[in-house]
Amino acid sequence: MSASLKVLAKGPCFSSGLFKHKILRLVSPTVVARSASYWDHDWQPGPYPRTKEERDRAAKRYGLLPEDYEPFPDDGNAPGDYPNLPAYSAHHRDLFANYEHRQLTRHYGEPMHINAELYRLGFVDPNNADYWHWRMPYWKQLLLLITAVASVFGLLSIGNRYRYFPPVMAKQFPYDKKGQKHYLFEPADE
Amino acid sequence: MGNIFFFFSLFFFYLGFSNISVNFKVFEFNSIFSFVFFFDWISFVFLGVLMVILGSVVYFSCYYMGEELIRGRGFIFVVFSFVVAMGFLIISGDWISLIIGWDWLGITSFFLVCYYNSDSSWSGGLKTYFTNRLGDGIFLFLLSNLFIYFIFSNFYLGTFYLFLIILLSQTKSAQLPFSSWLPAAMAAPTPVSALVHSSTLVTAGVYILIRSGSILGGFNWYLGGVGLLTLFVGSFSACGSFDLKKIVAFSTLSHLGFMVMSLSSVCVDYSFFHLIVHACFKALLFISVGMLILTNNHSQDFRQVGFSFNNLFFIWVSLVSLTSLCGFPFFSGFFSKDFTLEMFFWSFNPLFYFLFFFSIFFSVFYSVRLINAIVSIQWSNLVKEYSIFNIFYMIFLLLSSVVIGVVFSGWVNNLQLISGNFLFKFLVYFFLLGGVLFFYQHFNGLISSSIFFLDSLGGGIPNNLTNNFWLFYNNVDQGVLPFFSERLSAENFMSFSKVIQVNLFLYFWGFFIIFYFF
Repeated sequence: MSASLKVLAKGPCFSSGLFKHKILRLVSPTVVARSASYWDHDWQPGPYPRTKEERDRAAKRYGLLPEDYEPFPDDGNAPGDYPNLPAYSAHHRDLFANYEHRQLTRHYGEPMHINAELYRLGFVDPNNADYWHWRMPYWKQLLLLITAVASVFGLLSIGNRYRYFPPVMAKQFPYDKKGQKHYLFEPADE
Repeated sequence: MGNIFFFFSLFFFYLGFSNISVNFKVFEFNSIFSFVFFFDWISFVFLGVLMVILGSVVYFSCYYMGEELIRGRGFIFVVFSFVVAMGFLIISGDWISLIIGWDWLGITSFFLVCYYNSDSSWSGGLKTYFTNRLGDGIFLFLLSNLFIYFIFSNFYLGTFYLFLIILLSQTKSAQLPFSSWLPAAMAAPTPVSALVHSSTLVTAGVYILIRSGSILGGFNWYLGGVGLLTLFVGSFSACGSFDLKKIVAFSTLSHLGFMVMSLSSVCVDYSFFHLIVHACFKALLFISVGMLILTNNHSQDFRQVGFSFNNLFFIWVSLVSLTSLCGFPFFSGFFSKDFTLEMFFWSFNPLFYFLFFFSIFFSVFYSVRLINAIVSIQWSNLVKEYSIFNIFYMIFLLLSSVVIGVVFSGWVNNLQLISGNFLFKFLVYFFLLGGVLFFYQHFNGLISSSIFFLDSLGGGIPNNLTNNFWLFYNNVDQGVLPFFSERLSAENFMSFSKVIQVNLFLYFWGFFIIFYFF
């Protein structure tokens, strides 16, 4: 493939398709360009809030109380007036409440963290450190496991010394055993 | 498409009626290594049941995840590979063919559990595979010493080797030290669970113990204790679970414990009897639970499910499988469970009976809990688009879960009728009734769903092992992530890797040390 053809090529997948498709793509102009995702201009955050009215308007837009609203630090990298919420994951909330968006553990209109797609269920959990101290330490778990199993086996072996044998008849044999005459399965004499 | 399996099953049952026993030597090398297939009534009956369940699962998976099959992700291929592996294991008559089936089962079950590439699937698959691998290490050690003996001979192998065989079956059949993988493997798709975790993979360990039943005499105490513990822990944990599939997984665990416990009694055929009966009603239960999950948009939360009363058939199916599970009189579960219980009537060990009856009590408790969820009016959902072709296999399994008990009780060789006191024979039913009544009391905080902490100790593999931060994959059947799962945090990466190291060490030390030193 010569360099001039590569320059004239339009689109990212020039190496794909039959030769006639490649020629067609060279000579036909790009008519429509679509993107795979959907984005609305309404979703863009507003400019960084400077005055109190702008802050109140931004807080109301994101569903926060004005005293809870806090934008990112103004170091030039802030995403507009998007609130700087503390990191919370989808796991940090009750998994079993009746949410309007169950997979996101979120109701309609609640403020979404800027990294919400990272903190969803099955993904990164920034609140992991909170859960660790709720667990029982490993040594204690192991001790409880071994105690439980050993106590069951121990009690079973103690119980083996005090078995109860329900009263049963002596075993009947179809032959004459040591002088005890049992049923001999002989035909009845006429 | 799945019809041919039902015909295979009829063929196998017909062969199973004839009391044949064929030892088919495939090849022999140096008169030491031999590769033998053993066709027995046990093999044929098990193959027949396997074919019935496979046919049902093929139809069910077409209904439950039909678009996955069309997209060509290789699901059916892996399922067939699994079933061939299981068939291999069932008809194997020698250690070498057995290890091929055993390892093949482990690998295909790993792929089946990891089918949905979510974090819980990967961690569940790894837990499954590591536990199976521990067993494989033991198996390799056994193979290196025992390859010259047929598996079904009456040759006493010695205490040490016998203990290793029992340990081997414990890893595969999820007995107590190694039972953390079974709830984690519920990250598999529901048809896979119906095939794999109800009747085939988990019963492989019990199957080899049944086959070598004549030499198990010295370890009755160990089998009974381990089986009893697993029985109790499984049914107890099922009472505290809120995830539908985990409840069924724990119930499978408790029934496996029951099978191992019945091996410690005089008659080993009862264990096989329960294996067959359990396969039928457990597969049916998984399928009905799968229907329930479908109606709930693939959420497995047990508090938000319910069949509408327009779907009376599905309610009926769930009810019958659950009553058979409890051992309600004259369903098939009754025949296997009560006949086994009667084998223990010759002598009473107090704690044994205490735990056994409480396990029955808890099994009734979780069954009633499930029934309560299934027929709830608040959360009723309707299964709309189905026809007879989607549900006829459930009729087969339904009939079998009712009738197979009666049929098989005539098939088992050493059937003994035991007569005893009224109290001894009817104590079980008092506990059944008590379990039903106990459900309607309210005890908060009494019951938990962690199996003696094994799920955090023995299987503490974190759920975030993948690096797919931008994986926008709709996690179908992801289910409810357990409270104990260790989450990846940006700050805790070092501790995360330490956890991996510790767990890998714990699982592989057995394999490597045994394999390396012997």
